[in-house]
Amino acid sequence: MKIKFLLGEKKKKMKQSAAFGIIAVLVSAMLLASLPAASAKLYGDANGDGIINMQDVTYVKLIIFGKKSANDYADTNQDGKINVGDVIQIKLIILEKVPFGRVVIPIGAFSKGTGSVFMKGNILNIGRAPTASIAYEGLVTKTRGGGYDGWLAESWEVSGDAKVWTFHLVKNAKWHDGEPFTSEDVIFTHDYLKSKKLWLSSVLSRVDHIECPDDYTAVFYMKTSYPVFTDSLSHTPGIAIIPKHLWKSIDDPENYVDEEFIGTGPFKLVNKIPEQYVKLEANGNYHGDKPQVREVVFKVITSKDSQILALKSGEVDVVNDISPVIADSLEGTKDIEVYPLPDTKGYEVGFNIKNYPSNIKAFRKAMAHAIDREKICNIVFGGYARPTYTTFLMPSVAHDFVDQDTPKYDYDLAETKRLLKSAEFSDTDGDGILEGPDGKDVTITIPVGGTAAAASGIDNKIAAILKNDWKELGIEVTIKQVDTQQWKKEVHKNPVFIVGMPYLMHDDPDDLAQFGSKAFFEKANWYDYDNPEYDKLIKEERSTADREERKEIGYKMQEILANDVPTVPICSADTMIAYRSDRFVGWEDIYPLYWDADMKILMEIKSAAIR
Amino acid sequence: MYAEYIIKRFFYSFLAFFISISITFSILHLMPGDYIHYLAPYLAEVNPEASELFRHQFGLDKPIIEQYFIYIYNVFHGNWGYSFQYRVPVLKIISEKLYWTLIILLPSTFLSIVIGIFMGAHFGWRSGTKKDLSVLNVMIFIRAIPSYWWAIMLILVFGFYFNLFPLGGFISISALELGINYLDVLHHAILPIFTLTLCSIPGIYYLMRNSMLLTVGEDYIITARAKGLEERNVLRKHALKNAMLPMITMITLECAHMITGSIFIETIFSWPGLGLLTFNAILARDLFLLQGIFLICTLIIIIANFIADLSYLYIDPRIKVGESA
Repeated sequence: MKIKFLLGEKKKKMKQSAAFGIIAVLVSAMLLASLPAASAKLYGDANGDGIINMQDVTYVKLIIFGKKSANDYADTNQDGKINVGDVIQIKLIILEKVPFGRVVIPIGAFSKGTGSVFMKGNILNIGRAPTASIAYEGLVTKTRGGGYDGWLAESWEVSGDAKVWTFHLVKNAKWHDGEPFTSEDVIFTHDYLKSKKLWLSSVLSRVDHIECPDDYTAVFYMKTSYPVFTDSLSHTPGIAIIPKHLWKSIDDPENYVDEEFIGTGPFKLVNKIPEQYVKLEANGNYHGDKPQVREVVFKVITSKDSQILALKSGEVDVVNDISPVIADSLEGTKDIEVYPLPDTKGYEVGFNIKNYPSNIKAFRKAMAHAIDREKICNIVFGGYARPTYTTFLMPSVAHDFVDQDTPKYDYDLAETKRLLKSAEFSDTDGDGILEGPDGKDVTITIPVGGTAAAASGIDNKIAAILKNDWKELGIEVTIKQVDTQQWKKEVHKNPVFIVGMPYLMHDDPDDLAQFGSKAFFEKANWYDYDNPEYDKLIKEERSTADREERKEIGYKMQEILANDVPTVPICSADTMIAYRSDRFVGWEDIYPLYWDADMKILMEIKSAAIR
Repeated sequence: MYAEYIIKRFFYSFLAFFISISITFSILHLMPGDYIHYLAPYLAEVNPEASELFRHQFGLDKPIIEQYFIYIYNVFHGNWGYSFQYRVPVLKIISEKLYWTLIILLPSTFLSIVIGIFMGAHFGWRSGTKKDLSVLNVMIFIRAIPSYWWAIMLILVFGFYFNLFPLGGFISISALELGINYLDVLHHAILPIFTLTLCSIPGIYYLMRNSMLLTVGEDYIITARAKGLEERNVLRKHALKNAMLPMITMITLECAHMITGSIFIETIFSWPGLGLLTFNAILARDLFLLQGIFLICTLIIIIANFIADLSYLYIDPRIKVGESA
């Protein structure tokens, strides 16, 4: 008995020590693993003052002469030795002759934007390839002013009927592996996409064939007139030119995982750690202006909150598309600058023409007066948005394509009430809810969760404001949250919906084709808008090459839209970006095509350490 | 007798598997939208050709019945297709992600089961004491707060303010030059493991404590005490063994759930696991990948249940094979 007791005691002790053991292991693992966090390395900053200037040159010289002890950062060219080569390197950095610094950019796990292409198979697999890839280029790239900059094409011209597009290519471009870029690659890209029947080839569906009179000219022959061909080539998705010498041997692009991503772009892939980091470096042989940053690292940080923390702690150098609330909270933080990228997205209230009560034109016109744009700009966008009154095209990006003379629908509830009354909407049974001409209560469900408006629940907030305001008018609004893809079905079942689209969908009369009767998959558009006269204008617009004529046709289309009111513009909103001003400067100097640090931005920024 | 039971169980498991993959197939094909609409929404809206080309490429334009039989045929031939997004075989990507998921979920599941059972048994035995009540309240507190809040707070305190741990990810940026260092991975894994453990202890603790409370009132415990056995032995030999029975299913299911990952924790810690993959695949309508993920999950859960069923045979002699039916 006694022995048994002792044994029990021993076991109890063992149990206790096991518990202590587990705790001890946990604690020691914590301590052991809490290695110091790696700070950003500034090779060239030999004296460690955070700035690269002539003092560092002096310091490295002192190290060489043995007057100062060596350190890692003095080894500017990172060859493992500290010698006169490092002195030259620092001088080149100061003179801005060599790219310098490593910029770290966070990307979300679900990102389709810049950098994420390297995580997803191959370049033909992503929708925004040329600009967002930073390693590949297209022929041209779109500018904010509505024009185009040459990329792999130096210059280009179009025939009067917009059926023949001639691109003169740059002569000194090389693929990252050293092979020269020629017009063969352009033909190959077109033929490859089409012969493999890749979905991307739909961008080129109107191209009949390409001819190359010489190595640096590519002539695109269209099946039909195509005045906005450069627009399709340059973005969403756009066409990136791929190297013939590598891709000709790839038979199955759908299931091909590219390890090298050989392009012609200003940055080339160095290596990556799947789902975590992608590292690119400046392409020394780039045919255009050389980038000023030496390395670009994309880091996967899934949640926006974590991205902001990483920005604060200095792990990343920029965070894109932050909410107004976070933008305001970051304001005044040391070494962090916040700036708005103006007018990146346009928002509208859409009406479905087939559903009651928005099938009544007078109702649509009445409700167009019941949208408090100022309130939406202030509450939903924290002031980082401006009301728009013109139809669909955004004045800040479509410029003179916008017809300023179309009828405007100001916020005027008295007018709404008058129009509703004259359209026989009135509260006949006195329950506080309007009855329509058919005697039924006017109740509206607004589906939210679709298009770009769904990002950070913006459409939900806009709908909430409408709900609140329209209640006063006697209209019951219910908000229905759906999935993005479900939303596309819901718009056909409900009278009102919220649309948000990037500015690139609001900048050319061609974008007005979205109201064509068979605009979507040969199916009805979201608005179920169907106007034969309008469809005729779309055809006309698409076969006209002259800018002025297209503008005139666009004006006619806007007039029809303004009168039929399938859509009411709300505002154009900004995208907020926060960056570390102690690391890189120049972010605010350029307007990117996409608002996650795209190629245009990365070509513009330079290290803040160089003085 | 046992063989018959096992064969019966096996047959039912197979039936369950077959039915669930058929349901999965139908539900996934009923989902509105497709990958092209996710990838290039505006192109897909205005250019019907993009979507047509895409559907043709992956055989999605065939009649649904035909697709179903092709799918069933392929599943049993080990051909699970390629992910639309990653362009790699579905099984390869799942196994890669499973690896990362297990790095955080294996330790946390093990720890939470051990700690949860230990605490549940301990305080269930001594229910009603001050210690028991305070622990119970703490557990309710832990459980009541969602896991992502704990995750954010732990990152904020230990990662941001004390700078003891990285803010997220599984490896430091230096790995780009130096390669993957496993000590570094461990360093990154500690906070997620800790959060997961913290958040799953209460569930196991509750069940164990309740099970123990029920056992304590049983006649055989009183008998054991009346025999003059020591409390320790009554607990260990009589109470614990019986109280553990309901835990078997719980443990096997916990283990099965490991592979589905933890979406919140993975999102907040930027940990590239299966939970995140599933969520992403749903958003992107990555059809074949989704089918693969659900197939794996179904398979694991069915196997886990099968194992639980079999283990009861040995653990609980009261279960008489074949007589219940």
